[in-house]
Parts: sequence; C-alpha cells; structure tokens
Amino acid sequence: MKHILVVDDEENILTLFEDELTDAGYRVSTASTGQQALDSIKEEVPDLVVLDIRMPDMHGLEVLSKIREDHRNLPVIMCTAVHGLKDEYTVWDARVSAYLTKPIDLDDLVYKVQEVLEKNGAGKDAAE
Amino acid sequence: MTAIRGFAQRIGRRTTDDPMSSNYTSIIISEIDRLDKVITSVLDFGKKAQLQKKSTRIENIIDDALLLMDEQVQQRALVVEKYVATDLPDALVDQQQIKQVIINLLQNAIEVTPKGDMILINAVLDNNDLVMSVIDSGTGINRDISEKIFDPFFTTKTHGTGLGLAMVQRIVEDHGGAVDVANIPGKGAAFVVRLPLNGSRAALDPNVNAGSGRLRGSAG
Repeated sequence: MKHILVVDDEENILTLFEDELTDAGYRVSTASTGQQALDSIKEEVPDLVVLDIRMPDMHGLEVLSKIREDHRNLPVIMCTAVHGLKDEYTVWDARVSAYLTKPIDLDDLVYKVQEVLEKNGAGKDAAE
Repeated sequence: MTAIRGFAQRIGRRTTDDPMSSNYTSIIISEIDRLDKVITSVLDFGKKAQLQKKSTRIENIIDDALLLMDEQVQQRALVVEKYVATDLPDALVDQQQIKQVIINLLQNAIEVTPKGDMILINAVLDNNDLVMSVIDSGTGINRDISEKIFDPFFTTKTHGTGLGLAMVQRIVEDHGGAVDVANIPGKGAAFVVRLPLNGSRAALDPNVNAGSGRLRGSAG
C-alpha cells in the first residue's frame, strides 16, 4: 500500500484528504506544520507528499527545499492558489511533480496522486 | 473552500440513491465554484500588477484572446470579425494585461450579443496611438448607466462581479491610455481602448467623443 504524507495547516483539509486518499486505497499520514512534515519524513519516507504552499511556520517552498536536501526525487504535489501558480512559483516547476489549484477537486487529487505515482514507478526516491 | 467543496463532494457520492440530496450537493459545489470566481476577481482587482512591458505584435494578443473565448463564441454561434490595420507597428505593452483587457471586453460582448449575431474587433493606428475597439450587437448602453459602468462593483448582470470593466479601465490607464464606450446606431455598444504605442502617455483629448471619433478611424 502506497504511503502518502499530506501537509496542511488546516485541520479540515487534513481530515478531508486523509479520508479521500484512504478510500482510494492509500495509507495516509498527516502533518499540520512544515517542521512536523520534515520530522515525519525523517522517521519514514513516504511514497508521495501533498504539500500546501501557505503554512504559518514555514513556506511550502522552504519545506520543499529542505525535503530536496535528502530526497531529490521524492514526488511532491504542491497545493496552491491560482495567483501563486501564475507568478513566483512557476520557476519551481521543474522540482514539483504536479500542482493542485484551490479549491481542490477531490477527483483531481486522486487522479494526480495516481498519475505521479505511476510516473515515478514505485514512487520511492531512487537515490535512497 | 477546498474543505467545504470536498466534504460536499463526498456527501454527494454517498447520496446517489437520493436524487434530491444529490442535487443539493451539486448546487453547493457549483455555488462554491461561483464564489471562488468572485473572490479570485476581487483579489485580482485588489492586486496592483507590476507592468512587464515588451514590444508586442497586437494581432498576436488579439488572436490569443480570441482563442480563449472561442468555446463561448461557438456555443452562441457568434461571428467574430477581426480587422487589424496592416500599418500597425508593435506596441510597448504588458501582453498578459492587455490580453485580459481584450478578454474582459469580449466576454461582455459575447454576453450581450444575440445568438448568431456579430462582434467586431478592430485595431488601428491613430496619431501614434493604438486604438482597439470591441463592438457588440447588443442593445447598447443605457445613458443613465454609462457613467457608472467602469465603477468597481457596478454590474447589471445577475452573476457579475462588476469588476471586469473596472479592471479594463485600470489596466489601460496603467499603460497611459484611456477607455470609453459609445453606442453605435444600428449595432450595439463600442468599447474603445486607446493606448500609446511607445508606452508613454497617449495624446488624449477628453473633449472628443471616444466612440464615434475614434471608430471612424477603425472602420477601414
């Protein structure tokens, strides 16, 4: 069973994504801050991370940079508002597996997760 | 919004055997999507964009905008006629912003033009200014609202945000230009945008009737 880590500071979103992805057949763990996400990855590397851009303790891109220090190929799907996608974050395209634009459609979420995992084979960081 | 929309989506999936509940959740989802569009428009309007001006072939921007609006044009079986003067030099503009201007004007034109009727879009050179016009086949703008149509949040549409034309005006003015509207007898409304080609202040004469005066130049 593939392991997905969902990172978002909104409790309701964590519950929603956890329920949806569990129903879709994934094992899901959650983190509500950037630091919690990094700690969780240190403990167990997931197959994929669904990461919110805006979090109070650390910007999503900062979390992404820190993830990349040890896990160059870990698939990460960024959740962003349209405005962000249009502007400064576009430059990060190459390092992000996919984007989800808020308000996120649950069918899109499951589709993107499946697609990214398939594209990445087993989904595990090849460098590990 | 993601949470409200997502939970509604999950409830909807569990109520497929109850058409009324299923219908209600569909309504919740579509209303959230509408609300999201409104909020996005307000946020876009509130954001002061940094202009990134580049020398640009205006016809390319018009074609991009027309492509984006093509589905709506087809749905209403409209005919869009484009005229771009052959002597029109490149203009120093922010491509994305000017595309937004054309999209907003086309959006309004599509909504007011009767099915199967025509929309004209022109771009001509006048006194070293680029003059673009979008002419619909609607009923024209009532005199009593023509003063207000560029005001933020003013709308006559049931689902409009009232920000489309306000955004047009702001972008055009940020480019040192001006926008105006006039009724064309026997046609509809003509929205006329005048932009300085070199990116500096347009030679505007506020006393000239924007619609008729400028449109004569664009008819050829």
